[in-house]
This record gives sequence, structure tokens and C-alpha cells, in this order.
Amino acid sequence: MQLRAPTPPPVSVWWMKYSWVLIGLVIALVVLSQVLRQWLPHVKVSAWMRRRALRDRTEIRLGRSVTERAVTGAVRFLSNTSLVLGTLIVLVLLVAAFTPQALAPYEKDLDIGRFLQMIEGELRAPPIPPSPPYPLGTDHEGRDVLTQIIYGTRLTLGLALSATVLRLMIGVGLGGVAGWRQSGASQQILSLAAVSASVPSLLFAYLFIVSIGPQEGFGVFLLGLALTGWAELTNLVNGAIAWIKAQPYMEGARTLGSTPGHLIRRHVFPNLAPQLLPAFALELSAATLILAELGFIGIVFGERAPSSIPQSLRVVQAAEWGGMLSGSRLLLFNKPWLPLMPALAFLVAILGFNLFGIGLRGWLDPYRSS
Amino acid sequence: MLLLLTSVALGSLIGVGLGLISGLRPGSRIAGVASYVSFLGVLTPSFLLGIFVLLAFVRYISPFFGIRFVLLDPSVEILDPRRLIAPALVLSVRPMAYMAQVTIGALQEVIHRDYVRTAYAKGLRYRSILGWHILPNIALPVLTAVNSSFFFALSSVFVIEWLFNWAGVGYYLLQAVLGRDSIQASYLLVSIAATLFLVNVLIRFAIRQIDKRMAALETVAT
Repeated sequence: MQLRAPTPPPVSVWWMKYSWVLIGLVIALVVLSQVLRQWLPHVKVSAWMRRRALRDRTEIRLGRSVTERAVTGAVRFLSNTSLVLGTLIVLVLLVAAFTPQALAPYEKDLDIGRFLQMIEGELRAPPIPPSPPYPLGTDHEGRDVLTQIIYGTRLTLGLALSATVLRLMIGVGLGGVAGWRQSGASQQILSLAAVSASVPSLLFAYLFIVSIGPQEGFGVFLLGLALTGWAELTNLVNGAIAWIKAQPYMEGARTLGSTPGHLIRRHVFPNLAPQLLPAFALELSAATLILAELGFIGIVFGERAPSSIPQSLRVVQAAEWGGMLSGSRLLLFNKPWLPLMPALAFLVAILGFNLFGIGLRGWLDPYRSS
Repeated sequence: MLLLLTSVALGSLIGVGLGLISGLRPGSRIAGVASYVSFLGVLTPSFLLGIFVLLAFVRYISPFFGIRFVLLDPSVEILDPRRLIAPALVLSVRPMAYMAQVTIGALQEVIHRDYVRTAYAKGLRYRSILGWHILPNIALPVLTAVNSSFFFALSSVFVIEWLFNWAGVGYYLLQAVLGRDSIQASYLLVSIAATLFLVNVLIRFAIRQIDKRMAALETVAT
């Protein structure tokens, strides 16, 4: 009688086949943006295009043509290294969140199980270290870590994103009220924000989620992440609105008889948005970091009870990066890829959001950032 | 608590040193490298750094010296200062990066001021310009930043103590919350708050000693 160990199906994903080409493209983009950034002050793109238009006797409209604006915008975009890198990472994360089956090398529920597998002519038992059929290794159930990470993007980043949106609503609402009416209530709001800022976010989220119970589901995580980091946004919005209110154009608009709604829509919001969008991206990275640390401590979305049970003894229900991190502390020395790979995924996401926010600040507000 | 204070002190010292080195030579290669490193240091999740440091210490450094730098059992009570090295190293990275950024920012404002140029023109030695004209004027933002960096370290101390099995405030607080021990949890929270308050008071005292303008302002205000 001969037993045959199952061999994993061959990997055929386009981005893994051409990974060297893709890495080369990214490096080329970074080098291009650095070169453009060095040369940009010396190259007047719009002046060059105008000269060419004069030479070709094409029509010059009043103002700038569509092509000219597009080229100038593209050059400005490409010369902003952090914006280019951040946009790339955010796009990859979006694709992984919306169509994970396009990127993942294996099926989501491909479960070979805790059986020996034939890998490179050797019999191995899961967890299998990173090797050609499994680029980032497998866990104790024999599931591919890369596939789990790609499928977990939606839940992890969706949780972080919705918590950040709620944070933004709280922060902008309170800060807007405090900044718009400079009354006794605004002092109270600002002192409330100071109290909230003096509690570490991770501590607050941990206390909130553990005392209510992580088994309650999405709402607990949402509130635990959202009720803590809004103080910076409140202070930012309060300061920005106080600054905008003191500007002469506001006084002019008010003299001409603008209603408060018109003032907010036409003058306050357009001047506030360039500061708010980068702050939103930075808050998103902060929320993702808290989610990562909670997962590492063992507070995981979809678990029945808070636990730091070793990973080999339990099956994580929801595909989520924090769940892959939890309980992996003691595996560090013998199976380092199990805690490292989801942690690196978190690092890439945090880095991407941060670069995107910093780049966006430079894009929207070039004078203040330089 | 000992871990927290050690790491903040270490991070502040190294961070201010790095900031001085790179801030006094703006545009140099050191300054470029320092800005990238401090950007990464603020961003990197402390537990990821902790994983790397733990692996390095357990796999390579401990066997080399023959000393166990990291204990895998938190219940040992004897304090060995050598065990402080690894977690304090991890915990001090974020304060260090933040302090370096603040120091560079403060130096950029000060080093082109008129009084610094006058001091150069008088022919003073570089050391005395640095000590008498530059350092006292960046003391206010830098010392205020120690407060914030203490807060940074506090927010990651829970994870690091849990990772390194360090029986400190953060570790016991996590255990108390998990075990629904509200009395112990509130004691620990009060002790953390008291430490924060004490550090705050000490820093304000130091600022008042160094910067006489602040003392004058405060006496006028009160």
C-alpha cells in the first residue's frame, strides 16, 4: 500500500509571475519623481506648452487649455514622491479589498488540512515555512498566509475606515460648533477634547472593547476605535474655522448679506477641506495601528472571548489581519513568518496611508508644506 | 514604570543628540538620513519593531554574551538591569524620532537669528555659541516635547510589556482589565496619571529654570 501526500496546486497569479517587472516599475516611478522634483523649479511646463502652441499657431484660449492643465497636473503629481507611493499602496489595498479573488493565489477556503504535503520533493507538515508554492508560508491548518492576508484586507481596512469616518464626524462636528460660535459651549467642547486627548488611544480602545466584550461584534470595535482619537481633529477644525472667520473675505461676504449656510458652503468648507483630507488619511493610519496592536494583544474581531490562546490550538473565524496576529507571540522563535507577515501587511497599510496623507497635503496646500 | 521612565529618558537624550547633529548642518547628508529615519521611527508599529528586537536578542545577542536578556516568565521579581535593555530600546524609538523632529524644527528657527550671527561675528568659540545662545533658546519646545514623547511611550508600553513579559504597569493593567479586577485597574491608572503629572511638573520647573522669560510670564499671569 502506498500513501500519496497531496501536493499544492501550482501558483499562477499574474502579479507574482511579473513581480520583478512590477518592482522595477515602482522603483522607476520613485526615481522619476525625485528627478522631477529636482528639476521642477527650472522647468516651466506651462510656458513651454504655450510657446509650442504659438509655434504651431494653435488656438490659445483665455486661461489655460485642458491639455496644458492636464500636463501640469501630471507633472505636479509625478514630482510628489510620497503622493505617488501612497496612491500606489492605497490602490493596491482597494483592489485587494474589493476583488480579492483577482490577486489571491489560492481559493479562500482551500483547506488541505493538517496533512503532510509534498513540497520540493520533501514531505512537510503544516505550518510550512515560506517556499515556492506558498510565498508567505502557511498556518497550522495548512492555509496560505498570503491568501488569508489578501482576503482579510476588506474586513480590517473596512473596520479602520468606518471607525475613522465616525471619528471624523465627531471631531468635525464638535470642532465646527466650537469654532463657529465662540461661546461658553466652545470652551466646554475644547476641554472635553483635552480630556479625550490625554487618554492613550490604545488604552481607551482596550478598556472599552474588553469591558463590553469583543464577542458583541462590529459595533463595539467601531465605537472603541472611534470614540478616542477625535480630539486632534476637533482642535484642527476649531483653529481653522477661527482663522477663516477672521479673514477679510468673510467680512465682505457677511456685509453683502450672505446667510450662515451660504458662508459655510461657499467660504468655510472650501478652505477647510485641504486641511481635512490629509488629516483624514493620517487618522486612518492611526486607527489601523490601534487595530494592529489590539490584534497583537489578543483582542480580535470575531472571537468569542478575549484570549491569548496559542494559535495552534484554535481556528480564527473571520479572515482578518489582527486575528492572524493574535496568539502568535510564542511562535516567534520557531515559526517567525506567522506573526511577521500580518505585521508587515499592517506596516505597509500604515505607511501607505501616511504617505498618501503627507503627499495630499503637499498637493492641496503647496505653500504651507514648503 | 521604571521601563517607561528609562525609555523616555533614553529616547529624549538620543533624539536630542541626533536632532542637534542633523539640525546644525541643514542640507547635509546626515540631515537627510535623519529625517527619513525619524519619519520611519514615528510610523513603525512598536510591536513589529519589538518582534525584530526580541528575535535579535534571543537568537543572536544572548547566546553571544551568554546572558539571558529576555525572560519568558514574568513572575521573577529580582530586577536585573540587563533585562531592561531590550524593551527600553524598542520603547525609546518613537520618543527618539519625535524628539529629533522637534529639535530639528526648533534649531531651524534659531540658528539664523540675529543674535547667533552677532555671536559668530564677535568671534566666540563654537562651543560657547552653542551653549549660551542656541541651546537655551530651543529648550522650551524641546522640553515641552518630552511631555508628548512620554505620552507616545505610554501608549505603546502595554504592547511592549506584554511582548517582553515585563511585569510592569502595562502588563498588570492588561491582566487586571481581563480579570475584571477594577480595584487594581484603577490603582494602576491613578499611578500612571500621577507619574504623568509629576513628569509634567518637573518639566515646567526645568523650563522655568532655563528660560527666565517663561518665569516672568508666569509670575505676571498668576
